[in-house]
Amino acid sequence: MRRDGSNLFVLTALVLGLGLGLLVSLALSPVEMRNISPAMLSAADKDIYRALIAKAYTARGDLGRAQARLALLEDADMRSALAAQAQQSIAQGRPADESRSLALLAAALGSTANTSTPVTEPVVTSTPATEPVNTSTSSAPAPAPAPQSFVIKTRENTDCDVEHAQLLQVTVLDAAGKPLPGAGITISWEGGEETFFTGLKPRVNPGYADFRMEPGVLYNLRMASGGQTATNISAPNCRTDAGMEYKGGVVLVFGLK
Amino acid sequence: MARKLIFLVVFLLSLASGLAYGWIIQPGLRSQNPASCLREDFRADYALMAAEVYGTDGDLDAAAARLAVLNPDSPTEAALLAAAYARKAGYSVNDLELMMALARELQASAPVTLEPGP
Repeated sequence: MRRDGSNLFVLTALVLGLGLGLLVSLALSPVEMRNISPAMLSAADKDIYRALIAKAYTARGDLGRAQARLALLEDADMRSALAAQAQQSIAQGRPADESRSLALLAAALGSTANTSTPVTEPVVTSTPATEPVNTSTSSAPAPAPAPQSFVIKTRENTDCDVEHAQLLQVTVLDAAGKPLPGAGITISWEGGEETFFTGLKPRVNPGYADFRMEPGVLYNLRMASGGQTATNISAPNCRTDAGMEYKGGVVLVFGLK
Repeated sequence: MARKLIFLVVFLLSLASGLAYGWIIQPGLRSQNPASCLREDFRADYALMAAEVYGTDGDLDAAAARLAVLNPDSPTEAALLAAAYARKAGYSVNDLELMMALARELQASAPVTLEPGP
């Protein structure tokens, strides 16, 4: 018993000292470093950096340079990081062009992932972080068109695939009929409105976006840049082979007139 | 008395270990480093991105706000230093023009005088 008391007393000193040391060095007074790389930025500043990469990409369409810059942040999955930040940006009510740029870059990375474009290794030498990239991929998608007239090409009110339950699935096509990433879609319902963007799920297609509908709610949907409005959309009633009822999905395809 | 001494020694040793872990062994583990701590080349590239966006949208206030991340006291100074680095590092003419255009506009709206370098 006396021996246990001695051990406990040493253990207490160890835990207290170590705990206090870690608290001070990691939380209360973390070391502020100089001459750091973007990967060592705080999470908030990484978000600012990532958003600026996306804006610069939208401005110049240089995907190679954007990839090299994103690699500096050392995200485990840069496309997911962009998509997540785009969603977060929408949720926080940040400027729509920021969300759109993030979505557009995520979509562009998605389309190149399929053609196995190499991702530039992080640059941590004393040379400029991004050398001028004159061989920029011209496959970078053009920004979504300025106000143009989108029309509804297809409307399927009852999609009873259980995997699409309550999903409003929207695909946006450009004038050539190709999927258009980074296109804003405005959905409204009684007492609410939200904008979401195509391109965040490039595995489906770069012009795809979806929205989860609440049962019994009527929605109106149109492209944020204008055009025809799809009205009175709601999750349809579906039934499994075993007779169980559930709410199905809706499919909409918008295209330029 | 011996117990108090042992307690103190163990406490101090473990405290030193905890501090060493956060400050020396893993200094970046919970880093809250702001963009103003970026290395010069990364700062220049950040300023280039701001210039690229400014070259498209022409929004000087937004560009200044972006550069304030590098230097909250003087975005103009951040732009000038970045442009000077870019010239020294051999950035392309296009990039230099964008950076100089932004630096010029910022200098016109909020002039600063740079100290001569060493």
